[in-house]
Amino acid sequence: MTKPQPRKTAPNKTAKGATQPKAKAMGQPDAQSSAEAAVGQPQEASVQLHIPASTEYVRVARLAVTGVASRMDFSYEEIEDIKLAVSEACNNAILHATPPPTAAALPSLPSVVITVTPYPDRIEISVADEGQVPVTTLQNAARKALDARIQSDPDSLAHLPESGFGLLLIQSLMDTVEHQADADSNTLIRMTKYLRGRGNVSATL
Amino acid sequence: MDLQLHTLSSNGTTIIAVAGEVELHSAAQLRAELLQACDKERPCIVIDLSGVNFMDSSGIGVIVGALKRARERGGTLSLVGPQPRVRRIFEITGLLSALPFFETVDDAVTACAANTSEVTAQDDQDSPEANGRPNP
Repeated sequence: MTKPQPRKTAPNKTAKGATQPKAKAMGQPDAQSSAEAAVGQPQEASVQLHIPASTEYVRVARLAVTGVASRMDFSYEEIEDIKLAVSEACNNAILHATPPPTAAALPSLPSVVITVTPYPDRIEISVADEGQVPVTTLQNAARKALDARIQSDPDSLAHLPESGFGLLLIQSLMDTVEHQADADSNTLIRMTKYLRGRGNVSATL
Repeated sequence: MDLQLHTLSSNGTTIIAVAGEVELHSAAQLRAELLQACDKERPCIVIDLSGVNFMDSSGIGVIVGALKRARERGGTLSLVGPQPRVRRIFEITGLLSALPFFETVDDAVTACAANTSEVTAQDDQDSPEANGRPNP
């Protein structure tokens, strides 16, 4: 399937980082315990992408994650699932990281950081944002605004299902989904999709 | 933007052919087009999704919003020919059975016209006061 060389998935990855895990896995093919342990280890270094918190960059994140997933043994349908889940997570991160229009303008756009890690049995993707507004404040404000708009302008109902459907889609498309939020309003969503019934990918490299 | 919209008006029906990727970035473009199509009494709108190769929940939100607006104005909004991937999003969100999907644009236009004439007939029978609603 995938060609081992050349690799150009991670700009911040050293040649040493790229070859070490693979060499280790191939060097101990008869050690079953090592193979089992390797399932929990990244197949290779993570790919990390920083995008400005702006909607036009969601496509870039989508393409990057699709690129990594394509090198694994996922089916076309599964890659499409991953692609959509990443888009939804990035959408949420951008909406969360972007201050409301009433807030003071920021000197520059905050970043959304997408980290993709391929494991022998799964792909793990995290999407983190530098929240500009505490999550609870944002949610309360959004809820109030939404209620007001629904009463005054029925068209705003169009906004109602968007975020709800986004999370629903992520949970339906991925195998595990975790949320984290810290005191600084930074939030992170981590999602995983497992390779199904295709054996240990590292064995084919 | 990577969204192409071709709008055609025919016999009171507005047919919007959408092609490309409907995502958060491009959803506003589709929303604006749909709002314009809704901006008349009993709008009859058909959205041809066959050219859409990617859609996220932003697109769903826009379509659901437009459907509500069209119905509030006594009209209809129908969807035609989503590709399997796009169709799946409607399935997951439970909207496949809730929204009016048609195989072809012609089918949707025919259903739209039938619905409009049905509504008109009902209006003729009912008293104007019962249905009377100030135009926005």
